[in-house]
Amino acid sequence: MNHGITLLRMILREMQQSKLNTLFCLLTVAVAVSVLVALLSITQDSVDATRRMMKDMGFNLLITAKGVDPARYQALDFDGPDLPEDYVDKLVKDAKLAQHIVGKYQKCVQVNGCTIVLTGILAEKTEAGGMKPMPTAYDVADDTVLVGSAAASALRVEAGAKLTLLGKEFAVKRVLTETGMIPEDIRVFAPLHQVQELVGKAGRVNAIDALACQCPVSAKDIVAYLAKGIQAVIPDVEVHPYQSILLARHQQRVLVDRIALAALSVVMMASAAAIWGLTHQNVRNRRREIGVLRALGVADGRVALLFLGKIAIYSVAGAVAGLKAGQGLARVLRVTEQNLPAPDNLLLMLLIGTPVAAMVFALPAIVGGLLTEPAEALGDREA
Amino acid sequence: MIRLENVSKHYPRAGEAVKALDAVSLEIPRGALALVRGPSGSGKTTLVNLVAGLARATSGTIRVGEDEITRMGPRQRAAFRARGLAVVFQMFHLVPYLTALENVLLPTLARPSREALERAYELLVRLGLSQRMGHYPAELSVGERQRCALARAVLNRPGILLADEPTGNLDETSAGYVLDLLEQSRRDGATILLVSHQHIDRITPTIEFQLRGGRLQG
Repeated sequence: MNHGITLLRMILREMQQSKLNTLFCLLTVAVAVSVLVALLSITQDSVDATRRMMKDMGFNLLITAKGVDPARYQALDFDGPDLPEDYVDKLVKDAKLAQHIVGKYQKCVQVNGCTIVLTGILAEKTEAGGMKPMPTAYDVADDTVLVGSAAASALRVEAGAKLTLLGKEFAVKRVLTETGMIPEDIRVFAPLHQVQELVGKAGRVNAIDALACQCPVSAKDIVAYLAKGIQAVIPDVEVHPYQSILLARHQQRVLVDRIALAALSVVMMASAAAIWGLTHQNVRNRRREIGVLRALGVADGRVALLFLGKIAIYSVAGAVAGLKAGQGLARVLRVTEQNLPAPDNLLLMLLIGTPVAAMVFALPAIVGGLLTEPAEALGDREA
Repeated sequence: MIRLENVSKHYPRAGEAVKALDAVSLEIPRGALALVRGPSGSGKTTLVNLVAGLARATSGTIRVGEDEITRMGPRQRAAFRARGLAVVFQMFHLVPYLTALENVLLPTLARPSREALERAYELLVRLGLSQRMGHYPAELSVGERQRCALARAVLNRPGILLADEPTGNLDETSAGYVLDLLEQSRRDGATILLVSHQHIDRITPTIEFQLRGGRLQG
């Protein structure tokens, strides 16, 4: 056992003595961490907001059987090839490239002398790509339908009315807002399985709508990238992107990521500069002390530990304070509670990452202080 | 034994090389107390720094026992000092945020020792600092600081002790404490190199050198 003095004791004594330097260091780390935490929260919130906006823009991928012309699919007399319904489950389970996958079966039918596009839709029930199920505006419960505005006016039905389709009676849940487009305004949305039964196509869909997820490729390659990924799971399909929606979504995501990365880089660079500056000042102020310790034969590594140990202590304390402050700041900035980073994971990450980063930032200043000869550091040169 | 052969140290200043030491050769036998005298600016501190390995000679060879300091890198020189060489600095160089006792114990960072605490107490008592152990350097008088620095230097019983003007700024009482402890170290077998600008009555050096303008005289 050593009955002398320990490095930890020296570190604590020095921190106690140079209160201002310690306070500045602690504040630097706490501010950097709080900005980082708030930034993470805001970014996550922006991503969620973008998701919501993009969802409202509609699906951006249409998946059909091979050879189906997407323009033809929109035609009223479309009667093209269909696909097994379990393709939807396969995509949900295996596709890493698409989320919010919805199976549809649509058929043009005559009701009371009017032409409508009966569209069976299967609400998303399970998670795809780790995302939460996202209800569409057209999800309907059994025995209910949503009626397009033109169809509603032709059939003279409104919310709460009864509507008989191919011999089965449904309750009209809602009349959809006019889009000005055919066939959208003459669609009648009903539960997929009931539609399949009515048209004698049990277990079949003739289209799958999906929302493409984040793709690590440029905008020009995104369509080929998505088609390849989806065909790897279900080979006998064709992927038709709704280009404008797909690219808008992609560009929006890239923009959010870029802003987050830029802000993160600024925070990291500012923190690195501040920690380097404070350490440099601390090393300069303690030049003589460094010289004395080295004159006493203390190895350079142990002298460096005096500074690194101090940095480790204040950066751990700063990380804890910064996490709390960052969460508070995120709340002030109205980040939704669910997007606040999980405290346990983040705290652990910060408790390890912050001291490591701070020590890396400070190392050049410490090494610089150890490069001078002890006599020079002591200032005892006599000519 | 300490042996210097043609040791020079030049510092660049305003584009010129200032010769702090110029081709100095000397030999101090093991267990001797060598006194190097010279006026201010004669190169005494530079001599101490070079022998302690705190600075590198521009040219020449310095040997301390079997070790050739001039061939060592910074890490080896630190290890060499930790093994058994200590310096008493003219400016004391105590660490301001540590107490007198903690300052005396600093060498244990380089060479831990079981008896360090006991010896530190003993040295501080012997140097008349028993009431000052918990005081910070700023709370000590100049003489007390120098005594504290001396206690730190001899804590690990170094075989080589280099003292740079150890009594230069001290009153008679403090100087007495310091010189007595140096004498005791010599009796314990240490080789001592003491540099001073003045004559010191209370010690009888084994060997004496005069340094002037960076060169040994006579």
